[in-house]
Amino acid sequence: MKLTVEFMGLARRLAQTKSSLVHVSDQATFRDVLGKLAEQFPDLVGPVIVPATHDLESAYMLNAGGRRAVQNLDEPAEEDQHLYLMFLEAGG
Amino acid sequence: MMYSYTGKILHVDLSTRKSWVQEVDADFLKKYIGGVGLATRLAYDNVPPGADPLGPENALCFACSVFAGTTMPVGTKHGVAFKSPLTGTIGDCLSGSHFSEMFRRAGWDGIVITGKASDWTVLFIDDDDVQFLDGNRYVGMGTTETQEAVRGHFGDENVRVSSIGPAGENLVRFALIDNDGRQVGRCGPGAVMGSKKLKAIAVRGSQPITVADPEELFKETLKLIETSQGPGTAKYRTLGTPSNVLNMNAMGVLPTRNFRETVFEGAETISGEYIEQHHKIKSVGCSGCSIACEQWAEVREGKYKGSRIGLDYEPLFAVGSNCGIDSMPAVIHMVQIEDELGMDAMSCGVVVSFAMECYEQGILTKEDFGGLEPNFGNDDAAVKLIEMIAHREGIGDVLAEGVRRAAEQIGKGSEHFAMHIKGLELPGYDVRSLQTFAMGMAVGTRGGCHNRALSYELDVKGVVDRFSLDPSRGKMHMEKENFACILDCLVLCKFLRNCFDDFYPDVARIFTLTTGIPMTAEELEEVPVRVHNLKKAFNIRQGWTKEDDWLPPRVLKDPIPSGPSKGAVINPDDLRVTIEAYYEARGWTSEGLIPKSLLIELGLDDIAEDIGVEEAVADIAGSE
Repeated sequence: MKLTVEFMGLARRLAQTKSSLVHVSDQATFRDVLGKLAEQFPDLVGPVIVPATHDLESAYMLNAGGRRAVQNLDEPAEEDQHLYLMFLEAGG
Repeated sequence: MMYSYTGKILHVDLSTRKSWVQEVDADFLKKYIGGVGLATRLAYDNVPPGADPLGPENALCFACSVFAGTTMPVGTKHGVAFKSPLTGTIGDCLSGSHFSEMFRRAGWDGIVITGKASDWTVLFIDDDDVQFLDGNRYVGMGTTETQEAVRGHFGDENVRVSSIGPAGENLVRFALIDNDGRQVGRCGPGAVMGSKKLKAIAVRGSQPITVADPEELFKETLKLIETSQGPGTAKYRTLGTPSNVLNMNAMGVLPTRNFRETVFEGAETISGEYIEQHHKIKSVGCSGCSIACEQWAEVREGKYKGSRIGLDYEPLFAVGSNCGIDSMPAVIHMVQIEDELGMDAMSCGVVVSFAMECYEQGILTKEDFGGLEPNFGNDDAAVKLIEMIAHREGIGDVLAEGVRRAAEQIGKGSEHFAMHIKGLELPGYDVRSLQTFAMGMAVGTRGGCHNRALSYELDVKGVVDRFSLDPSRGKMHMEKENFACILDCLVLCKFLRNCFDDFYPDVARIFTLTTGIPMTAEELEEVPVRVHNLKKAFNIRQGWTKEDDWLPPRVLKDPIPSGPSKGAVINPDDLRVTIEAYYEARGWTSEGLIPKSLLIELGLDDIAEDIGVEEAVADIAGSE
């Protein structure tokens, strides 16, 4: 299946693109999506995506469709989902 | 022996041109620490009940951070507390700059300014010498222009200055105090200063700042600097808070066209990412800051060429999406003139967006605006309105009162979209889609403020369902509120909040290394509870009632029309129940009053006598 990941803030700066279409297997989880991103955008590995586990660094989060913050990266992703990869610490 | 602290509060009466010193001991300082905590205590003690916020009886109370001028990063700050001319409740603000350090070097833990000068005055505090200088030559000058002129008068860069601009002189109710380009911004402190005919406060200090254990404190300093350079603050260091524009837009939270909508079609061109590519000069930090979050931006071409200012998310939303303006050059220019005229850019932007909606709905006409046509998106009109507000010209005289009073005066249904809580204009988050935060702001002691509430974190990170409310949020919000409060008392920047392994034990140790005053984690954890109750007590004594803890009609009646948060609206019954759960979590009565026993438990015995209620009586009152 395919999903769109839109990069926000520092992630966009590191990926050097606004968004990317990601192809993963039909049973893929959000963690698998991050694994795919790590392959496509090596600069994200370290500052944003933890190398070995494909967790997100603590300040980052995935948001599905702008409506729901992904709490568990091992949840299954969905076909045609629009994900936002953002650094979210409100304030200022 | 105390270190860092001096145990001295300077009192200045502008009416009589006299000053005197109040001595305070370690036990007193330990209870409130400094910053907002100490400033609020000084305000409670020096602002009489029923005081006119713009009268000589109001007190402008400054209190230094315990870390100001030490090696501790992000701690060179000060708090200011007063009775707010916008809300009539506690106005408690923070700022950080060289002024904070010089304040400490002059040998003061706090400064209390009361009275009213007979003519425009510059107060000069030169260590323990207090002088009242003629301020007339600075009248009409902008904030930073005044600071440079005052420093020029003394010919000494070590003279650091807090000043007001024309808006403060004209008693605009959301006027600010500026120091070194940083602002004591919200709740109208500049209007209080203007009401006292105090144009500027200049401070020069020559005294050393000592700490109890320099070696151990320096080790902690290095550790904190290293952590503050890690991934937890990367956003602040690279793009600053303006990077929130696209995040909030993506989640359907970005206030747009006076909070009518929550997705702005022009968000990309007012984003942090856009600033970096097209307008950024450099990142700038407050004095002693290891993060440097402020993004300095300039306009390089077009009608606003030459404008330059430091940008944060809140001013961006206020004059950008909320006014329907998608031009970054216009945004930079507007924030620059707001700062220089001396107005809180958040309140001012919300006031302008309110005026725009009044115009679009036909409540106010082109004639009311003196020929302007302030549709959403009209940056020329917005710039002109900002200037008219600062100088109280035409309709600007009405708008200078803030949206609550302006709506009361304009009427015709405009109260529905006057976006404030307790009179303080809302920050850059649509609360229909962040409902824990909505409740938190409703009960906030200074009104519509994100920095005192902090519970937006629960909503945006998905810890709770952000589109609904339930009683469990009461306690959750209280914990966030307490955490915000302790940072404001110390003072430590909120952007450092995730940089400690175990916050209370770590910071209690740092406090002791700095001051030599023993402090346990448990004692430190009591401080924000005490200070929050103190703020609430200030409000109760000034006339607060339960009805003041509420939200503006728009967020209770108008569902969000489109975008990811489409349909979201706050259920008033759920809000009421959650507010009561919050009161219960605080140990207050169902009417939101504070039991005497709680105040005594917190060491606020004198306040218990002033405003504390007997619990049994309160329960009866609450059940009626």
